[in-house]
Amino acid sequence: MKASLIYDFEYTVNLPDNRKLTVSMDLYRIDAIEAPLDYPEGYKFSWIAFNPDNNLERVLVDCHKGKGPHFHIDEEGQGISFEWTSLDDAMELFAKKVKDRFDVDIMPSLFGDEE
Amino acid sequence: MKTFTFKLKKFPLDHAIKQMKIAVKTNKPYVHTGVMYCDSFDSMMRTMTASRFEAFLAIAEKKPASISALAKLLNKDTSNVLRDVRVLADLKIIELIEVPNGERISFKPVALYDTIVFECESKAEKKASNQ
Repeated sequence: MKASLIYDFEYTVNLPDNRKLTVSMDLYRIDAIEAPLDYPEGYKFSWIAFNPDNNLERVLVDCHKGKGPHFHIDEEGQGISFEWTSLDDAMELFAKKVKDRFDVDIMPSLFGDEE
Repeated sequence: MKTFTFKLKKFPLDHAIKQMKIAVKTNKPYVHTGVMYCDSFDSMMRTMTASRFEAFLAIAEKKPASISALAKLLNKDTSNVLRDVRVLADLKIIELIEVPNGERISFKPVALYDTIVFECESKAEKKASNQ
């Protein structure tokens, strides 16, 4: 399975109440799709947001072999599967889960005008 | 030598995330592997704490076979070391390799980098590099 990395980025930011949030996101395009349900539209990704002062507080949205797209909140180990509709929708889901968990909007302009 | 850099740079988070959509659309990768951007010194120090730095050095230099072996090297409680190791793995500075151990699975921490650098560019340097 050949995977091309098309996005990789990590950032720690200060939140208004002096909490911190670390966000780490990557996205691969899989050339030969052996498991289309595990890698929807040929994407492999891992997107995590966590509190660096307490990394048990976390949101993880990812997909991997045998599991397909799913998310984890905090210490929830098994992961909760979600139905794939598009990459945009998956990013929106990640933003929503981060908003629910950390009360911060990490993508306020993401679904506005394209650059 | 592979270097992981903590870089002091402030910009809107959503702008950086938006680059994913642009990378997909334009087919131009946006890849900053080996760099953790931080919007302040405080963010930097609270992400890469002294204990996480010690754990990284022990993993890179001593190559412990497991997290409990690492805890012994550091003379620390395994659960505390596990939390630091998980952050290092989340930051993609190390990886945790599954090792079958009887009926259980243990994890071997492996350093993905040799060096960690903390980088701060002065305003004068930034201005010069932009010209």
